[in-house]
Amino acid sequence: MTGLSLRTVLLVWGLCLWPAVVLGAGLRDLSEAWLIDWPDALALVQGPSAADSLSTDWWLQVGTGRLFQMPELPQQRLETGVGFHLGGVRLGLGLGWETLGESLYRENQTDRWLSLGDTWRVVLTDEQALRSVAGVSMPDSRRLSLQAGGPLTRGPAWAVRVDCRLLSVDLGKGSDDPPRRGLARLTLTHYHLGVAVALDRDRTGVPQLGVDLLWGLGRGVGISFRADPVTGNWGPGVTLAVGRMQVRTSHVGHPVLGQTHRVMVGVGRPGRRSW
Amino acid sequence: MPIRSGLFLALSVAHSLTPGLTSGALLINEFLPDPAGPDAGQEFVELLNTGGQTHCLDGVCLQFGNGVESAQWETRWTGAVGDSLRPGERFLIVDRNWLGPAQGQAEVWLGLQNGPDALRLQRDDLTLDRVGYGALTDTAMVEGAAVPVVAGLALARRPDGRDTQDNSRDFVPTEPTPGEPNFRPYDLRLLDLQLDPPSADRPDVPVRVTAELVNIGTEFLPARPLQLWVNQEPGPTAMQEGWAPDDVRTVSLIFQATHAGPHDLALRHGDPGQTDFLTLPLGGLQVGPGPVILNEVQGAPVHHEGEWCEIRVTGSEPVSLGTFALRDEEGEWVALPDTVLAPGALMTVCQSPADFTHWLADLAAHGYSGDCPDVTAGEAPPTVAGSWPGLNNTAPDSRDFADRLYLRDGTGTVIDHVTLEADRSGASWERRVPAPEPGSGPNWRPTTSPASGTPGCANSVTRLAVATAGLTAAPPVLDPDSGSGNLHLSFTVPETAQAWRLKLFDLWGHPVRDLGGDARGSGPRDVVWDGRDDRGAVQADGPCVAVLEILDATGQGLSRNRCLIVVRRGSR
Repeated sequence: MTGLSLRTVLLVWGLCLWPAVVLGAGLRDLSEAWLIDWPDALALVQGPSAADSLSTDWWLQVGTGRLFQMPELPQQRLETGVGFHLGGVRLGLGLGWETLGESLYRENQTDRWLSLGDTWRVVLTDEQALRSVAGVSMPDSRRLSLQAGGPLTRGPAWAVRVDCRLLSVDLGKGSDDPPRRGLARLTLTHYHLGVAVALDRDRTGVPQLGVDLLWGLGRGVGISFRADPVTGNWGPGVTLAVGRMQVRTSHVGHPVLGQTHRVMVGVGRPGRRSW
Repeated sequence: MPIRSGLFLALSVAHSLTPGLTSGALLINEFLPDPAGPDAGQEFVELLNTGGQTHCLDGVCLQFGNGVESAQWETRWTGAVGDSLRPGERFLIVDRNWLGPAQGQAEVWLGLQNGPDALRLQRDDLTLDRVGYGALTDTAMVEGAAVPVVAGLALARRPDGRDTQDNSRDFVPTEPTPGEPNFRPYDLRLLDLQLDPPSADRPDVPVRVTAELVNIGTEFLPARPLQLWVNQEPGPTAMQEGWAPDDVRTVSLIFQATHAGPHDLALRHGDPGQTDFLTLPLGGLQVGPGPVILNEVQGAPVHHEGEWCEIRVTGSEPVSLGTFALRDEEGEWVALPDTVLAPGALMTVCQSPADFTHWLADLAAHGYSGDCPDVTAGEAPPTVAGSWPGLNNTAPDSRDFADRLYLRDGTGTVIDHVTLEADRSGASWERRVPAPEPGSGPNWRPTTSPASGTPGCANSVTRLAVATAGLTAAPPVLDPDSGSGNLHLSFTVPETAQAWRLKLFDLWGHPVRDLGGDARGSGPRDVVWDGRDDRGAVQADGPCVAVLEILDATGQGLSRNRCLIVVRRGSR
């Protein structure tokens, strides 16, 4: 399959499939606070050369937050990954662990992923969520999913990338597990301005639309705006990048439930831009 | 009903001195002279043939001797022609209009008195057996010493057929077993049970279960784990060494409930399938608010109004109080008035309706209406059916609190209690919320009302608490599979506010259910959520956030309280 035909298939697939799969986006999990990937964010706040110059990847990210500032809903996330070439094929391996809640409700999510390819790549993800209520375990949930994505166009002024979830298979007993990523994501960059739009549906069938906008101010500083129009969550954030370290914050608020403040600190070489 | 260990001192002595059975004979093996409740139809005498040959009962008489009248024997039963008893068999003589579970071989008027008295088996001039009981001093009516009587318990040979010619060594008080062996090979009996606390405010409270047990069986119990079972689920375990008959042990186990509601407690010795496997029901424990709670207690009145307490219905169904009862730390249970209370209703029960009414009139005469007009406008409240459980105002040396008031439901489970401290200076003791949040401090506090109490209306400390913790969920986990199909969201609208609205959201921020609101002004509210969303669909497993908005008369928001709740359908 040529790059063009693959690109066309992915675009059509993504636009047609996203309303049919019951998965939620939204600002529930810590990992959903930012939709623009780290290499893209690095390029936006430090310039394209910062990310393009790197050919091998490794990174470690640690994040924390408190959902709606409720003491019962602390969040933490730890994520690490590595990318390398093997036999002419670019491989990426990653591992993430995220927790939510404490004694009354506790959620432990782990995700493992394997990516094949460079700018066009396929990602196989294994997600598992273990939950407990007042110390008693609930049925676990597990999902295998396959995503594919790549640049639709790239140039000095505009670049567009699309990522789509092609397959999603539930393996666990719990069917109401928290989702991880949107079904389809479109990322556009224009010089120092980047916008990512994630499309999905939540488990009740309500369409989800997540928007993340990042404006690089130069010198490793960027400001962002994150919104989920359906749930009403929205708010600003800040991105700072110094050398191999990056700090991202998110300060979204729900009109009734209140503010959620999050911060993620990353270190490493996250690799080249995705296009 | 647990039997106090004092009774088992006699049991222990009897068993430890057992020399074995005497030569085969026809014996009085068990009898019940003082049944619980009325004697008629419940008294019985069980005979046992301990010999190796069939015993002819023709002409054998069972005679009753009144210990006060010195060896005056009256025949109650005479064996008929053809009556016989094979080796090891029992012959049950029951009182007229027998109510017991076993089938009697003879039904006569027994008319046993409660002691000092005696029974004997007589054939012509030959006395086959003789048992004296109670404070009997006539040695002609007893073998050795008489056996003491315990109300409600039978007097039984331990083990069956034991005869040392000393009634006080052969017989022990025990649960009646007419027509059956007096003691099983493997058996445990609960002598005493202490729950600390006696009822738990919320699920995360550790509860210590202390059980005093006796090996009432006739065999040695091998070393086994003794495990606490809570609602048919395994709990903590304590390994037990081998356990000789009549050994008394105290076992203490701590567990933490996972959800609110009634909990059935039981102890299991060993595993099912083992010959010595035993299950011992311990009774119930209430976690979180029950259908009825103690809401306010006045145990140290200084205005001659007498003691009183206030009962509150927390559930969504009317409650008939006739099966509920009160007692203090040392007292007996006294039944509450047989009244049906509506959901959310308050009812005051007082020691002296006349004194209470006089106090209300005094308040009105002094122009007090205060923050609780109902105090001065109410009718005379009812009292309990029995002696009022007089509450101590100072702590005795044996404990560090003055007294406790317990509330029991119809099953005998203590569903609520309040611990009263000493020196309360006339202020009533008020409950802050039905189900306190972790870390929210003491849930019972002295009233702040100038009238020294708020019977029949909202507690003063509840209104104070709204500013800090206004919304509580009981239970916090909605678990229809465990019988917790409704969840109560309780709060109090403060006096400065007029209205409220309550909504549920999932953690994505989607609205789940609008639970409504009202604009009826201040006061307590209790809203029930049935686990369904706005479309009537069953809410999926997982957490939700309840958001309470308190509004003023113009609809302007004054405060917002949130509370995490969880839906769990665990057995799915």
